[in-house]
Amino acid sequence: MDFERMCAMPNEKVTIHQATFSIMLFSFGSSVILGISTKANQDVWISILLAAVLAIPVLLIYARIISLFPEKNLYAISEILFGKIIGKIVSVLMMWYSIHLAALVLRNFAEFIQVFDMPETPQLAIMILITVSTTYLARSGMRAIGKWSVVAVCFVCFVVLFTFGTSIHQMNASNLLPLIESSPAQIAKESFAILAFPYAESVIFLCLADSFQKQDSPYKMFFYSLGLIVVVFLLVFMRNLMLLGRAMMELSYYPSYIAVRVIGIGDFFARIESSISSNFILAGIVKISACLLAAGKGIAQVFGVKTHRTLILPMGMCTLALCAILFKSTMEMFAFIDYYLYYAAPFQIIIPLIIWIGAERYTRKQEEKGASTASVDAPLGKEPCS
Amino acid sequence: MLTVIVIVFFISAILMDCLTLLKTMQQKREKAIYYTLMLISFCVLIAYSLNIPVPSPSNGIIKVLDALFHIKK
Repeated sequence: MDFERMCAMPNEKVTIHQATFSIMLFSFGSSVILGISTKANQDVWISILLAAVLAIPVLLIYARIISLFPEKNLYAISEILFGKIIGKIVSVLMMWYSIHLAALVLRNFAEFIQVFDMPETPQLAIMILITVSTTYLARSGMRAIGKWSVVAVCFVCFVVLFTFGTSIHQMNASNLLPLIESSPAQIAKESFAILAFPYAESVIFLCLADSFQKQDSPYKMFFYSLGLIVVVFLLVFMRNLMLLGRAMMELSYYPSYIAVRVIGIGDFFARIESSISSNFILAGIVKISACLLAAGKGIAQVFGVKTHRTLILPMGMCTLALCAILFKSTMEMFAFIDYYLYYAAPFQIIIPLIIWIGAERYTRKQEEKGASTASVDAPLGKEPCS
Repeated sequence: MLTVIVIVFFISAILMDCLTLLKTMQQKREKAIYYTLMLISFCVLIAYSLNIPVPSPSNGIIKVLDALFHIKK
């Protein structure tokens, strides 16, 4: 299909399955390779579950916003609720978050590929290749991302289950002990960190909500994907911890990759760590593409441009430029994770919360208006049958 | 070498777009945004490829968050 025909296509909608799997892969994105936070030691599984509980009200807010304004994205909703100026400020903030998140994930990609696969290749070359593919996917629309997600999620789940299954004989269950060694404060802090990265990152899908079908429940989309991602995270964490042990897991930047490296069955089956790289690429592409699409829709809304497709390539280029200058080293990149919780809170919690409150007030006013108009119109209409 | 990669990449990206999507651009504003964003990213990437230091937004974000929440250990 050529691009000109694609541009002429109407706004594409995704099915509930495509949306659910897109949200799941989006959350899975960089966490699969960076590993889930390890600061609560062997008690991270508690943090994963607690973070899922904390994510419930956040996702309820996201889903409620979408159900109050079906087939509208966050940019359009904020302009309806707060007027043009404040609406555009909100749109610019969310657009920045989308680009920044895309740049962060792109950088994770580039660092990982350079460290493990291509140490001699300049990072910029790796970044360019990923930018080309993600920009193409984002320009193809949300439906293409959805279709990609359905295919990719099968492979990703297979790899997680396969690596878990083939490593059972090497696992040391005593690595899970002692239970609840970390302080409650430490576990709670890690829960908030996991909430911000990656559960609440699905706020980006509020910017893509115009691609969801009206009849599909946003609650189902968010909660099915949350359920799936919690199961996958628990499996990944348990596998890594039982294979590597606490000390080794804390020391490694990419615990999943190191853990799968250990797996070996007899003398003939080993070196399956490349499956982890492919997982990262499959899920990471969804994450970057979704962020680029959200940023493209944002800039089109802010400047009143009719179509966002033409602006996705420049947004991809901006992401590439931002990615190149973000960090000087891998250590700097990992150090930023400590700040991410505080940095992301306004975009993930505060802005959606304000929009939700505004949306509830707006719809209540509309209902009251509708009711009063109906009561004024009633005498003009036919007399109700008595 | 990196500079050559950046230049070739930008030229081929814009050429590809000229043959496809840019034809469909009707608004002047759309073209202005397109070329402005492309120019900004080109300048940043050329500076990066020539090892000219470009300030990172991460440093600013970290400084602001440190001042507000005292995160640094």
